[in-house]
Amino acid sequence: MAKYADILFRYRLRFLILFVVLPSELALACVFLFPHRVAMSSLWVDTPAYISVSAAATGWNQYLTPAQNTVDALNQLRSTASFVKTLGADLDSLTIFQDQNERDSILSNVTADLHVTAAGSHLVVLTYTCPRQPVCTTVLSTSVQIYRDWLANQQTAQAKVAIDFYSGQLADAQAKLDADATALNQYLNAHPSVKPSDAALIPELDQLVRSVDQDRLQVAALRQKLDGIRLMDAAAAQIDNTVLKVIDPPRIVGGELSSLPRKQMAIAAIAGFALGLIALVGMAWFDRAVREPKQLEGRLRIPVVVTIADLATGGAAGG
Amino acid sequence: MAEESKPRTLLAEIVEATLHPRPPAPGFAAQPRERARPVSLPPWFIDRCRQAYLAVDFPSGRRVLGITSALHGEGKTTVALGIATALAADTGEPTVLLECDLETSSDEFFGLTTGPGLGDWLEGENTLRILRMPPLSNAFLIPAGGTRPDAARVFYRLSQSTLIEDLQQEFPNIVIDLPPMLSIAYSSLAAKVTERILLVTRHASTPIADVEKAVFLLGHDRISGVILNGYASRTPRWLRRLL
Repeated sequence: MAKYADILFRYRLRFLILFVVLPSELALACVFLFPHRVAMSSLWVDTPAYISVSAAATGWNQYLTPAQNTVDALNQLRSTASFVKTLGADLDSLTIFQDQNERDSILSNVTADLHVTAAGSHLVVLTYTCPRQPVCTTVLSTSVQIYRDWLANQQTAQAKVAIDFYSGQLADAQAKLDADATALNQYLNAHPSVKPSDAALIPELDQLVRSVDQDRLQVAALRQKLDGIRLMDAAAAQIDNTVLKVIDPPRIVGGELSSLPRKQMAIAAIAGFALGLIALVGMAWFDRAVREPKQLEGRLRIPVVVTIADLATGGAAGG
Repeated sequence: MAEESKPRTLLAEIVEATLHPRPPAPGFAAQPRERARPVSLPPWFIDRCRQAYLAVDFPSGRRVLGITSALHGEGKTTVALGIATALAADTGEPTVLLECDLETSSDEFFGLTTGPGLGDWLEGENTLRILRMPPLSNAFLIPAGGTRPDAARVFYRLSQSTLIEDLQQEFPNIVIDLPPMLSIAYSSLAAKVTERILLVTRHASTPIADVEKAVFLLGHDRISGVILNGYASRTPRWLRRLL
């Protein structure tokens, strides 16, 4: 290690160029070689409770603002393979990609290049960085649409469960109503002189009438709930449009150099640094000169009695 | 034998004349003597060289120390000069720096005009020059002389001669600037000139494999230590401590 350090500091100017200047220049070159564009879109998210229907019933934190909840949901959604797959399929259908390489590059980096931030209590800003303008805007709009579809699907699924549940409840209530109504009719047929208005005088009749009335109320209530859920299910897409509104459609912001191709820059910088490292290792490998007293003593098993500084540099450099 | 006896006889006279010059005859001015004017070494450098020779264990009061390196240009001659200066200053005894690098001229380094040296004397071609190295009055230099194509043969003569032993009679401290080990074919002869050798290496320059070869040629036991010259680690001190 002492040898490496000595070579490093001896040729410090060269290594400064290799370790700092070269990576910086390569990274800078990437800015011009791989220009990136930034697309931005703004969404307005309403509180679901405001319209008394939950657009994102599950996973919605009541202590966070609608924008924060949406950012959280979007961030989780974009990190899933399903999202990337759906995005790829949607973009394929739009024939936005120039070639397979571009497709692979966009889809493999979309998770990292798509940023979702809350700009206020209701405002969500999506930014996406990519090499080509049409791709940038299309990816953003498709991502918003995927999120919207995801919300609708989630809502539809919840509605389906509710419809199934309340349908069963309604069927049971209807059956009970039918049974109670049949029992009341049978009683009235068996006692032709008795009228339903005599229920206050006849306890048995009163019980039968009350049961039928309660069953009717139960059936009516369940039917109302079921109708409401069916309405929500049918209007799921419209409700999402209300909850999630696109304020600013996807558009390109800034100039050609407004965004840095971070990945390429990182690769270039690492490559430059690695080049310096290879040069250092190579120089150390090919360097067979005497450098340190310990090295000499170890190799020769003869003591180094003194080290003398170079006469030209003076005694201060002496060991 | 005749060739060997000639320089031996002359050596004692030369040394005597160098250490104890005769005063000029009355009425005559003193003859100007040639002096070496080596490059001026900073005090910190001489102090580091002092640490180097102090690390060597000399069995008796006589100190004969060889300085060599694996390759040319590692600062061997500069270190030898620094050690000779430190030895002369510390002991106050006559100290001689014997230049034995016959293939590389150090005349400019020592501020000498081109002239005969050790090689010429060993070949019996010329007298031996022993020069004072001011400012110390007890520091002397025996230059190698001009570069020679027959350096191997001359060096063989040196290894077979008793020059070092003879010089030791008058010079308790002898620092021998040996040729670099891997640049000459007669490096094994150089190793036999003295029992104690310091091996100079240059930081960030000398290949470690060459240092290992030099150690192999000299023999592990002869090397009293290694001097890491030109050491200028750019690593911050705190990082060096961690590593």
